Amino acid sequence: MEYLLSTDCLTKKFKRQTAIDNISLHIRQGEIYGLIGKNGAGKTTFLKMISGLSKPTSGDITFFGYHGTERNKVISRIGVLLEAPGLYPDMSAYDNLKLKCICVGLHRPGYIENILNIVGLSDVGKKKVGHFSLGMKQRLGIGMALVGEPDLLVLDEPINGLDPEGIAEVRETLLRLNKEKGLTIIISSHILEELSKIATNYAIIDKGQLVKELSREELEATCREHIEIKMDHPDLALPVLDALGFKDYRVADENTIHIFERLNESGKITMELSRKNIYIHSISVTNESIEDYFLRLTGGVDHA
Amino acid sequence: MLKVIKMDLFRMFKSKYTYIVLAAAMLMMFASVFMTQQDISYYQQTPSALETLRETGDEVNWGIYIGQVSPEWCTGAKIPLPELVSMNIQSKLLLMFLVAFIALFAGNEIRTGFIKNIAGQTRHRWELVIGKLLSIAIFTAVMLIVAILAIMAGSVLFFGYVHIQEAGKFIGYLGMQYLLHIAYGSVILFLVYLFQNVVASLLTGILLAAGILQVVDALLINIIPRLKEIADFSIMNYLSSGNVGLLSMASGSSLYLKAFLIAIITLILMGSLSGFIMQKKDI
Repeated sequence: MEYLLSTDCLTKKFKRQTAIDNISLHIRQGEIYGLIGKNGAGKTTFLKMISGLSKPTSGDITFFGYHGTERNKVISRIGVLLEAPGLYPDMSAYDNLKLKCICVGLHRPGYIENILNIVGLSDVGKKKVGHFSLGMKQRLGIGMALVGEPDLLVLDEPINGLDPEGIAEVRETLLRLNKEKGLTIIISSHILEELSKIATNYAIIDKGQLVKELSREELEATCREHIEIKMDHPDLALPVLDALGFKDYRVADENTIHIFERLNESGKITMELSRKNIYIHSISVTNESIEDYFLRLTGGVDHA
Repeated sequence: MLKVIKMDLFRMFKSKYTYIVLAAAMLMMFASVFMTQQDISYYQQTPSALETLRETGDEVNWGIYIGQVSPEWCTGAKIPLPELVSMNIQSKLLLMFLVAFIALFAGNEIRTGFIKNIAGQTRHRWELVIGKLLSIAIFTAVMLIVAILAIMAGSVLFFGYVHIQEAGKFIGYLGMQYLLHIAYGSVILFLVYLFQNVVASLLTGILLAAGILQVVDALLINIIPRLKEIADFSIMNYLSSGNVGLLSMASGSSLYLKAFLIAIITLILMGSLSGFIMQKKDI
């Protein structure tokens, strides 16, 4: 089994609107998979489908090697926190967790206390969830998702509305769970800087379509400081770069070359290209933030 | 499925509103006995009003009411507890409290989003419906017991006695009303899953219990003229809520049989539809 979870041409339509359009994703065990997309891009719909809460219009989901209706056998191996945490406000954190424990058939002594400890809520006592801060509710929501020791944790915008301290707490919790328990996590967010601190892989979704699936290394390579050359025929410039001894470069698109080394040698490159009569539009040292990269892929800031 | 049932029962007994609804039902039954006593005094002092009551006493009241009086109770003879209980069950006050409980109990699972935590944990989502139906059955039993205790307490306090007669028949009557209440509960559960909204299902449930569907009687008679041949035709005769109001201690076996069939059909139909919605609908 190469992938813990994969989707094949997953599509969800609501009447005439296509919320998810032919998305094929691949998630390996132990990854923290960041799902990036603007509001309304289809992240929640996608996560609901893989969690078994929403039925795809077409396409297939494979989880633990099971697909189609067979997947129901292992769907309980997924812990979910979708949108706002689903909690009874008139009950304590303990009782909310106990409800889910009963539902999954867990009666181990100390189990609930352990979950409360993992999410940093061991000292809340009998306080009703309705009196919790947003951060505490989010953490309890993660705790609820952890009941039953799932193999995959699906978290939809878990840091939404949290203060910096709350964000850091959630981040630390997730990293610890991933490291200590080997938990695979799919996490959606539009706070990209925060996502970049934990995710090992990314998928960028826009208007229900998968724009890009890439690893952390690939994203870092794309977004790290580099020389950017804009020109009509990048292929003509490649022998020149080779002759100058550049090795860490790539053709970003049909008019752009990115060079990731010897960033102070842009003058030398210009001179050499000029000597070979290769026309360039511009050359500059730049570094693209994840946000800039995301906006470039998804078509700008109009509704980010 | 047993796990889901256990979870629902745990929540039912942990939730504050379970006890609030039970306490409210108890108080209302107590108040109803008090009002009955007040009405009896009034009828005893006003013979013309008692005569009117005798004339209209047989008319079926499809609505929700409080403190109903039987003309026989105004003669000074002891009021049998089964009749007092029967009158209060027929008033549909308990049905109203049952609607409130179900709308809160099942509706909160959807409103709070808790359902997202558990929907993926069961192989078949319809199991969640079974858990709710069983909780409704247990709550209904507790509510009926609590109501009878409140009526007994009221009877002792306001009439000075508890007069029990026809105990066997009374148990049979309670059993049938219990079944009808659960059947109506399944209708409310269906409304909760259909509307996915506590207020909408609560309002619709109370309006249906209050006999709002009588408005379609005339329409049905217009569409199907043969219905005119049925004496006092009303759609309420064929609904579980209507039969709650119709079935009294004095009812014959044919009415019991009809009520039984209606309750079973309603329960199966509404349970299946709720299960179907749960299974198919996106959460």
